[in-house]
Amino acid sequence: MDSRIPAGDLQGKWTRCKFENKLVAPANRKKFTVIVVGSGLAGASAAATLAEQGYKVKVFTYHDSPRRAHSIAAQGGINAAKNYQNDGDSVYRLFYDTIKGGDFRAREANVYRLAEVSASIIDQCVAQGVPFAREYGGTLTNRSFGGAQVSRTFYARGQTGQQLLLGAYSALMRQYGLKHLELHAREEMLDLVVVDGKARGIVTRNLKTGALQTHTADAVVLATGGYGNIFYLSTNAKKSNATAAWRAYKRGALMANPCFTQIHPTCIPVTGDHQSKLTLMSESLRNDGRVWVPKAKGDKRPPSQIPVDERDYYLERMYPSFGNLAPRDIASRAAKRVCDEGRGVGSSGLAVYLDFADAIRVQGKETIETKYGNLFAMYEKITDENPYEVPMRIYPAVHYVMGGLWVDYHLMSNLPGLFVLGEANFSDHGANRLGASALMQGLADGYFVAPYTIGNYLGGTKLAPAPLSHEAFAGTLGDVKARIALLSKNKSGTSALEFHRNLGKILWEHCGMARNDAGLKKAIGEIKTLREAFWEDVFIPGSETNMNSELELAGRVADFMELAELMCVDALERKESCGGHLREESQTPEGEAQRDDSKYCYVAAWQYQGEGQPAKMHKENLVFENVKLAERNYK
Amino acid sequence: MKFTLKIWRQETPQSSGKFVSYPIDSITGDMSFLEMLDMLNVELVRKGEPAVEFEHDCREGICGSCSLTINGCPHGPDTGTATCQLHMRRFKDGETLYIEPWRARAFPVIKDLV
Repeated sequence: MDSRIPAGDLQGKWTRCKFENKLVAPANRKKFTVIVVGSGLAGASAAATLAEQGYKVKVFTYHDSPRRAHSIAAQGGINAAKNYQNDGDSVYRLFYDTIKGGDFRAREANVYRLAEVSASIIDQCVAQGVPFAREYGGTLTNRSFGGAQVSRTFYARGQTGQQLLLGAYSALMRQYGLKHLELHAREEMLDLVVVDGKARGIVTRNLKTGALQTHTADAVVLATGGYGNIFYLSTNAKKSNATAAWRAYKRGALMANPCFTQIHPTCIPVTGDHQSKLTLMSESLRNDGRVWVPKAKGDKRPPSQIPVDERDYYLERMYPSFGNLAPRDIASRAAKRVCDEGRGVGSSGLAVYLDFADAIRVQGKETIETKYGNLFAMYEKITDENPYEVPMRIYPAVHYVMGGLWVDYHLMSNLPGLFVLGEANFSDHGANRLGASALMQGLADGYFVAPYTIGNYLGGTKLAPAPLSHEAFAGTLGDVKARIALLSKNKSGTSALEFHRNLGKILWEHCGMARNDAGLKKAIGEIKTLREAFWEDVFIPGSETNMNSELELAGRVADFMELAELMCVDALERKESCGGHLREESQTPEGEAQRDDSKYCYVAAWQYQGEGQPAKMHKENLVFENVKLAERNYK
Repeated sequence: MKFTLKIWRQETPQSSGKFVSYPIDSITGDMSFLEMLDMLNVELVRKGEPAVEFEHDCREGICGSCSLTINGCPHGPDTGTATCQLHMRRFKDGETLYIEPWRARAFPVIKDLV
């Protein structure tokens, strides 16, 4: 496990890396094929850029169109160290904020590079015509996000992800129009093909016809997003899954920090068991909304009847210098704490208020409508309450995973030829991601990092031909067929959806915001029992040779069942509180999270050891040469 | 709330389809239209019947996957509203709902409502 971080000073690492990279001459690039799985921001930007450079690119998505990828749902914005506001921002400050925000569990070199290329992303997207919000005079404007004391977030109302994705998608489709890339829609990757220890292809299932196919390439890029949907209730799309990453893990790729999940503080609360999805209300709302609960326990008066001096604006009280813009993990944990004290609001008591009354009074309803109109409309649709008149009710929900496949500085897995971009990798956010940094990372990886490092791999590696006739393709295809047969063996039973819901409950209870030794051990037992019940009882009606979403779901849930156990094992091993996760055994006397740098300042990278065998942990020690390890203080 | 769902079932692009009637009970106003279909599918699988195929993904009104023509209106009665953002409180208890795919020559039906 070599992280291949270039030597020398932090500021020069990426420049030196690019200079030392092996190159592929333009005329030779068409001899190389690169498979890109996933067409969100990371996948689409990487595919478009590699195709523009002259490589043969094949893009796979399980959607009917690349522009359905869940990047589209990102709301608030994208960070970049442009310092347009002249408020003291710099590449170094974005780097520092990201390292600190991640609770000192990310690699310095990767994070610095991310901050360094962030400014180019904005230029690239403006050139594509992405309609970022502007000042009256025409210059790009910014807003603030959690964990930063500068305004560096570029945005397009509450639909930034959609606009950025349309930009990347346009770049992708331009290459498609030029016949520089193949686009395989409604085709889901079900396994990775490894030849002589290198990633050389994939097995896919055509979701319309059920046909299984093998594809060969010189390098494989996974940009398949995160696995937050493992919790069943999350802000992820319903089809978001871990299958591509998990199959790669089972073929030898390391899975890093799988227990690091982000719980977003501002989501619409759960209303009942029928619920399939939690909806995020953008963090940008905390620029103008004030978070509060009643001071008294069990105060059931409507919010308008609670006088100001009987309200607890707890974020402003506890974290005066960041106030309502405390980082996500801190805001989430604070919400959980006040609700656990019995001061939560709404019928379930599992919610806090996000109140715009003051902002509307000062700025006027029209200004608030311009900034957040679509979010307010969405809130009203779902809850049947008008947030211009009554405060929003919000509660934390699973939103993002910092964990993912282990990659080195080149974004390559320990399996040579397998590159992992965007949320699917573990690289940049440590134990907690700051708001508006996911879009930044996805596009940084796809536009500005992978196109260099994949070129270096292809230019510097001797690759023997790997034709589809190679036995590894037939072997992997056989494994996929056997697995589908096993899933389909039961003649009656229960939908995979019900198992998924139950799995989510176990994880949320024991591997969510707060964890402890006994709970995690209990969860591991419960997951094993549920997994056995799943294979005994999961029933997939319909046919394998036709569109069958029950089959698709069952395959994904089967992989979630295995990943869930590894998440708990990882969480059990990390006996410190860190980022979004309070390890109950590791708290300060005031009940704040207590990190333990002496024992846990490393990346836990897990290696698959075979069916039924415990995974083996490898430690990548994190070395901080530029930033001093410090207690995260947002007070 | 109770509804009678008349859902278009069609096995393949080539086969001819038909409306099939499904009574459904215990629906709450907070449920989204797609969550009602989830509930129906869980029941159908338990009874050993093929689930109703429908397209969906983000369930927050932005990806544009969910389609459905409901009582003759594309994506239901509200304008500017994806089906995933349509809640059952929008309908009357006891109503009969016709659910079919959006029919256009450029987008032939693949299966059921997709």
